Amino acid sequence: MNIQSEILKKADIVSLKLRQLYEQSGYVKYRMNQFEEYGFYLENKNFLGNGSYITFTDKGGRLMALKPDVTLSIVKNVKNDVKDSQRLYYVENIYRMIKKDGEYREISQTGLEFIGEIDIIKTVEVLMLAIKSLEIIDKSFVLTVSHMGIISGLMESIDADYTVKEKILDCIKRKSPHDAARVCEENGIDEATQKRIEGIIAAGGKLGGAAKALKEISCNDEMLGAAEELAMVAEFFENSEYKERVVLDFDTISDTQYYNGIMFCGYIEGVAASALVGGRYDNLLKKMGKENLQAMGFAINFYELDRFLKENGGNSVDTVILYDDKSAAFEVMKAVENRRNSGLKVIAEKALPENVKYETVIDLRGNKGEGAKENA
Amino acid sequence: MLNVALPKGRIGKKVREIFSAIGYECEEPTPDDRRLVIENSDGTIRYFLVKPSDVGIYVERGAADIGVVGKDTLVETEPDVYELLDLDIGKCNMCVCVKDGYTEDKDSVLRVATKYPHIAGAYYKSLNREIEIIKLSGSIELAPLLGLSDVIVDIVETGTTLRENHLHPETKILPISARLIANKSSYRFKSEEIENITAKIKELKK
Repeated sequence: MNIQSEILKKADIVSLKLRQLYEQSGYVKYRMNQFEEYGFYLENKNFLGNGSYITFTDKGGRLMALKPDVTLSIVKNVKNDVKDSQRLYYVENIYRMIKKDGEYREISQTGLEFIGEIDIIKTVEVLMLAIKSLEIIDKSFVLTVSHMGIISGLMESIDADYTVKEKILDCIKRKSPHDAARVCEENGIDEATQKRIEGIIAAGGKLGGAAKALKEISCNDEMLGAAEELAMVAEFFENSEYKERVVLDFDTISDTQYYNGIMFCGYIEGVAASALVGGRYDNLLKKMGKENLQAMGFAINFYELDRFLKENGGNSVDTVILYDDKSAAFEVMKAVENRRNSGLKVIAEKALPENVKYETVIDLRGNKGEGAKENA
Repeated sequence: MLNVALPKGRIGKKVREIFSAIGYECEEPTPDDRRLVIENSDGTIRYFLVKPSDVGIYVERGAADIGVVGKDTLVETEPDVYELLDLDIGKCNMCVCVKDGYTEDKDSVLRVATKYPHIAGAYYKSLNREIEIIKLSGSIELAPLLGLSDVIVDIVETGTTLRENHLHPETKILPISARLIANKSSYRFKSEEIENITAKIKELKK
């Protein structure tokens, strides 16, 4: 039986195209277990950003959790001494509590991980795959890019305790210069640092110009190195067809305990939240004792995209075949099969359905044979 | 077209004046006007009039591109939005308020009546103080008077209601004012309009 492309929904096509993109780029599909030991997720709960998982006790009395994340499991299973780069992608369901309603949801997630030695070429490879993934979902998209080095360098330069730094980080994420100024004033943070924070919040727009502006406000080697890496990425995109679609923004900054280097976030016009999130996470590998490796990846969250990708077709068929108690079952099924074999969507019913759209009706009631009247 | 969620009520009136002053006409609804959607004459901007506590949800979920909401609601509900500007209107403070002559019994769990359980909880957590939250929806000042709570955490503007009920603010937790917020995705695709509005309001504030 040949598969007819018409039966595929938009979401199915997106999923298949993403798989094709990743396979063609040399990424290998990774399949994982539905659950892991709860303790494993607990140790890394900051990486997941939420400590609520669905747990159960297995036969041996171990507390298990339905997987809330894929990256952690991939990293756990990667060997520290591999020589070759590992290119992996996944299409998995994860189980997480959604902040919006505080309920657990099964979320379909597709993503990829590059694990190995990461240079500018590999960085751009992952960024380009993120861009092409967004383009598959919709032509109207934007990828925001930032660098954790700017943030950790900035935090290093601030003479304040952890809670104050957390507040400043929150102001940067919320693009809130007024609150950042208040936090600085309340905690005696100097004017130069205040201006630097303001500069980071205000930095935005095209990557090239923004990277230059960040270089100017950098106050240590870490910030400078990050600004230079951003400038290299910008240089690549300046010559690409996607230069208008890649902008600098620090909305993706995350926990420096796990993330370092380039971070990015993808938006689709018409989808209220980010559709794709990714970045470099060497620190997570280090934390898991895999110091020799570097990694970068991203995940596409279909929970946010679900409504966007849904078509308004509703339930529809090509033909309804009407029958009654006098109709010969053989005649009815023959009429159904003939049409199904020629590629039509056909159902047999005793009465016209109220909630199904149809093009044609074939009336085989009263033992009428094939060739009965057809109503458009 | 830019969709803007505006709070109904007193702050809403001031916000409509600000938008009109920067060239985004926002018609003043008459007392009989029951419309919840108001579009300006050139069709460039559409205002939704919603309950102040709902503005964050409208913006977070993309039903509105931008909105104006009090800092109290933002901190309490934590919508995932950008907070672009402090409008410096609707200024007040989130305070711990106590009955006149009250002294805290440090040996007991503190009973806190509030409309803002998240803000109150976070504040006392930062002090490592054990509390019991009593969530109320209004007339919070009654709670310590009737012995329902030891203290209240609430917004204080002039302090008149507190004084009339023999209460007073003891500690300021958070300064409050109205903020201009934006949906994260809309900020990407309608950046020019959103930045233009932000810049014009900033200019107006000077």
